[in-house]
Amino acid sequence: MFCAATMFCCVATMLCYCIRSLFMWCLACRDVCFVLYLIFNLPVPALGLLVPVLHSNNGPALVGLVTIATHLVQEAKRPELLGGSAEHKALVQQWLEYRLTKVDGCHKDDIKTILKDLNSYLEDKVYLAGNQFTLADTLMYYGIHHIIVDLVIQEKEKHMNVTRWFDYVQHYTGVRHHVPPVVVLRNRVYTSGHH
Amino acid sequence: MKLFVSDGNPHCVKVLAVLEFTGVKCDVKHVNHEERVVPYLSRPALPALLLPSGTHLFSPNSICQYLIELNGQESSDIVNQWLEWEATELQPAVMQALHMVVLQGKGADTPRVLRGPLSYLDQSLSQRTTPFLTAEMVSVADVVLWAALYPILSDSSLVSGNQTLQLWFERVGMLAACVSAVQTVLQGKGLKAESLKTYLQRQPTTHHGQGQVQGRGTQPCNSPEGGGDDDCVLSEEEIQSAVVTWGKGLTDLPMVPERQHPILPQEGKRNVLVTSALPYVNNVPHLGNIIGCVLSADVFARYGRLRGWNVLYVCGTDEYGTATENKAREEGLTAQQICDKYHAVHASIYQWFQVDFDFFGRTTTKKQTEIAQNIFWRLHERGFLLEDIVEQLRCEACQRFLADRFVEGTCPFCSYPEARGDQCDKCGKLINAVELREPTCKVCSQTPVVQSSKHLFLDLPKLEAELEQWLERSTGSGDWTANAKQITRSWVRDGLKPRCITRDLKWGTPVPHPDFSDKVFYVWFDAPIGYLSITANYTDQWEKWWKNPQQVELYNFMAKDNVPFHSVVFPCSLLGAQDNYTLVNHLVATEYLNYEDTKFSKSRGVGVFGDMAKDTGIPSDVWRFYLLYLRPEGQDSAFSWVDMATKNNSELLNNLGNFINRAGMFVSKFFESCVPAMALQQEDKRLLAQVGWELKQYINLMDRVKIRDALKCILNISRHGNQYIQVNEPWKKIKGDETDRQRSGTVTGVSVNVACLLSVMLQPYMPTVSHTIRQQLNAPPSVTGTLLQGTGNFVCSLPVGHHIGTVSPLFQKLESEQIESLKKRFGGQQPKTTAQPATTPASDPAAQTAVNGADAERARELTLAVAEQGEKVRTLKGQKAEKTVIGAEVTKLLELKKQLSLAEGKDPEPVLTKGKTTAQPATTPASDPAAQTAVNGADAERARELTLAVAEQGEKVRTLKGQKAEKTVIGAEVTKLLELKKQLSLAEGKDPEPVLTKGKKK
Repeated sequence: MFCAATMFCCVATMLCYCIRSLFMWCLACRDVCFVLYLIFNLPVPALGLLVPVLHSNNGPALVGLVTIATHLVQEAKRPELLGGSAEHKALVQQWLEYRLTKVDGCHKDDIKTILKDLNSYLEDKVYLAGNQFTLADTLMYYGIHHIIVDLVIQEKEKHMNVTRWFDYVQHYTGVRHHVPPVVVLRNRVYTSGHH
Repeated sequence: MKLFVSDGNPHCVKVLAVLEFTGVKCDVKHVNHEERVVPYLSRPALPALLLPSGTHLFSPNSICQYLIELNGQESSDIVNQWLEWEATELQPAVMQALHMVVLQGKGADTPRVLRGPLSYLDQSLSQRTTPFLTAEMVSVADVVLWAALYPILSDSSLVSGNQTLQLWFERVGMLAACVSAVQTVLQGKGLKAESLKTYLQRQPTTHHGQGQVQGRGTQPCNSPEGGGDDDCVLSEEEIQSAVVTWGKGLTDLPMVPERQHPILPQEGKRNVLVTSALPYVNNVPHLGNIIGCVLSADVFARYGRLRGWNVLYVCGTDEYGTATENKAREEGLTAQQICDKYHAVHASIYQWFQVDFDFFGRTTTKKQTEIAQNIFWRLHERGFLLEDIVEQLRCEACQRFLADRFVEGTCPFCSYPEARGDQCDKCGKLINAVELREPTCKVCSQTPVVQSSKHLFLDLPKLEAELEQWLERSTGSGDWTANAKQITRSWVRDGLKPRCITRDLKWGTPVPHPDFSDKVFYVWFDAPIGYLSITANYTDQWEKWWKNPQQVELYNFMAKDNVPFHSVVFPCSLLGAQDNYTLVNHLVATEYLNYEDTKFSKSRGVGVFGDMAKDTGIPSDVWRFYLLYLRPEGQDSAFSWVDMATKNNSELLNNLGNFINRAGMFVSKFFESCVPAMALQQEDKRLLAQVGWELKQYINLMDRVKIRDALKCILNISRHGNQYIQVNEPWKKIKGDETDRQRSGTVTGVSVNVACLLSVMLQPYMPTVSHTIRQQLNAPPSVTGTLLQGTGNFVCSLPVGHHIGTVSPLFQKLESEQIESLKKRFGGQQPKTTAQPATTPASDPAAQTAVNGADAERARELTLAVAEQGEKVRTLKGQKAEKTVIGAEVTKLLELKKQLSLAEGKDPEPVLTKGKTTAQPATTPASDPAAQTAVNGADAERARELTLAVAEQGEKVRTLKGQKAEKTVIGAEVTKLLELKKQLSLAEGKDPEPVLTKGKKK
């Protein structure tokens, strides 16, 4: 049985094994230059981002973070991490895609919008896909960690719902793994609301 | 369940096709692109699916997956993989390609960004044995990818190769669901659909938001807008073609001919007419004015000349209008003298900034009168002018109609007592000057009267239809900046109203109509005609430029506040005149440039003004560089001294200057100033391709007047160059064996050629530096013309054996102390907090205690002394003492006053010093304050009058006191005196003359 953390650890390890074959593959299709893509926001100096590839014994290689992560969750028999109902599943997929297309590699001007949108979305939700913890939360957590780490207390308070969600997720068993915890104050410092 | 879709949005094709394909029941609602369906997203996101639970799905792929799932199909790994690829790899490339093809009209071939993804898809398909992407049957992945590619692949002109892909595309496209979805969203038209264009125009072009996710995978060459730091990934073919270009040398490329005046449109050439908004003559332009129009236009005009276009760049000073009349009154000159004076000031400033006009004229010329009156008569004959009665405020005392800014009164909306004639500073509402309660003339404080007079109006509503037709054509085919389009759109959308074109003034172009003989044209009607008349003063054949829309492309440069006059009002005048006028094709508007996060302000002395820039000791080229580096494209930007120093030191000195200097130094030190032999290796070829690519970007951006972004390409090239030198270490290799020495030669030779290319690319931005580099490298004159032809040719322009000149550093470091002192010098004074006079016990000047600053003590003593001495003089006068005696005492008094005003020089606070800080205290202490006539500021006139009034009233109070009049009587007069003094000190905001000195003296 995998727990969430080992699962990601798995991806990370496989990534290392895959880098060689990844490059071989890159050479094979020259124009499609796949650069290293950072999972868990490990900074990969100068190389930019990297797309993970999963080679396994059964079936062809899988490409792409969300695809691989979804596959592994199924292999690990933890389907609840992908959502129960069709609606729930769609929401999980949507936020996974949001991380890839909006959060990853976002321009610094976009950060404000992302925080603002997430904050209003999370206003009446515990987790991204409702009241259950899912894969979307984990991947978004890693995707947004570098942004949250840089926020000052005042900004964290301004995006209170995001902060609250983030705090839940980082304390969810096995999630935080190697990235540093972000301190979240329980009492508001800037109560007046005049930011 | 409800599905929201918008026309022209390719994502909606996806969901509608899947919806029909699955047969799921769902309402479909068509909305506008701008509609914010999903409440928590700040940007509109369509399509969106409202789920039964009340939440929204806004990702098209998730909506498709959901619909499929409702239909009872599970998505497999391979489907997920394709969907993920579509969202992260394909989509950004498609968006960029569509943007290029549809909005910029580029590419008769498959857009470059798409080549990678398309060939990847083609390969994947051909490796499969199944007809569809994932199975024998069509899957959601097929539909989604098909829809994403539909606009591109349905256009046969854009498809080349990729056989398997095309077969697959046709196979999927035959599905009934796909056919009907395309019909609904794109009217079956693909790329040509007008709705697609509208959709794309609404999409952000930079990496903000949808579709432009930053480079993962296949599109590392993206974001030309960002001028990004992403490295360009080059294909073998590109590298090969760069090498071929390099080998061509300078020989078979055409030269740029010398400029010969008068420049006239030529058959078979691109004839580009460039204008920059005419600066108003009554003031010295600040940096914001300079970057907003003349400098931006100059860069573009220089670039156009390098490209071999036939460019004419005209500009001039706008000289008519009230503001000039007032300035003349202030300075005690005639309006013509003011114009002459400031025209020269402007001309010399632009010359210092190396703005290379073909002609810099002015609007107060005979040609202006001729052309303006001609246009007027044509409009009149064709019935585009209306007559109407206008109520205006007229000051009887000043004998003139008051322009809005010369009236003050109580705001009719919020009762704010100091509302201006055009707008209330408190509630911000626009005011019609005649609606002001208790209006007063700002010059003489008299109450103006409302007077009616007959005026002429341009009938804009009558021209609206024609205008809109033209606007659609011009904005559709030209490079209008986003703000220009938006401002224009909002003007037209709000409906056009007739606009008054006449004014009751003297200083202007006279209205030739006999019924309006004492009137002149209003500046906004008159000023743009200046472009024509200035050209007419340049050449008699001006009509070849201005009545020749078939041959001429017109670029207007301006700041955003000028947009409506150039996009709506002036075109209406020209359209109405029906004389085949050349109308603007490309309207290029900047946002505002602020100064250290505040506004430039002449009156507060904040900011750098054109005439002061040269006194900073910073070269004109560096000024140009920095202003262009922060050219407010897209949003306001701010000038900052510290940032200027940083950019100078990091970009110019350490990046650009360093590279060019090293390249040159290596040639002269290691190879006796002769360009060494070059044996290109793969690495060198890569650099050639990288540089070539940046050069293409530069041309691409400059063609669309993205001046700031293009500058970044130059800096990217020198960055590449520095890395190249750093990695190859030619200075070490020169000491090695034969192979190493050869390598050192190659690297040096390539580098110095890159430096030569940079000199040409820099020419529009930094003409002097560019010239210096070419001189140092002894570059053949033909380089300037050849390297920028076509899509750019990075050829080997300094061949083996070429002898270079003497190399020396190009830039100097800006030290922080220097910057700090400049910052202080141009920072202006602190804005005055309160106008204090109310608290000043002004009835007795001696009681003025609220003086601070280092000399406060002394000032206080002096104030007392002055009062005492003043009293003494008065007494003597009263006693009818001998003239010589009185004279001696008066001299003493004047001396005291002089000392006082000196002491006060550092005092930022009230009455006496107000004006001081703005008006160089060093020049103030004239021995006779009364002789000081050089009073400036709009309120000077008023201040002078008030000073007299104060003196008079003061005399009155003293007389009453002397007569031992009743306390109540004296009290009333003292109150009046206080009120006058209060007004005076308000008026003195700009008056360098100490009040009391003046008042007392008389």
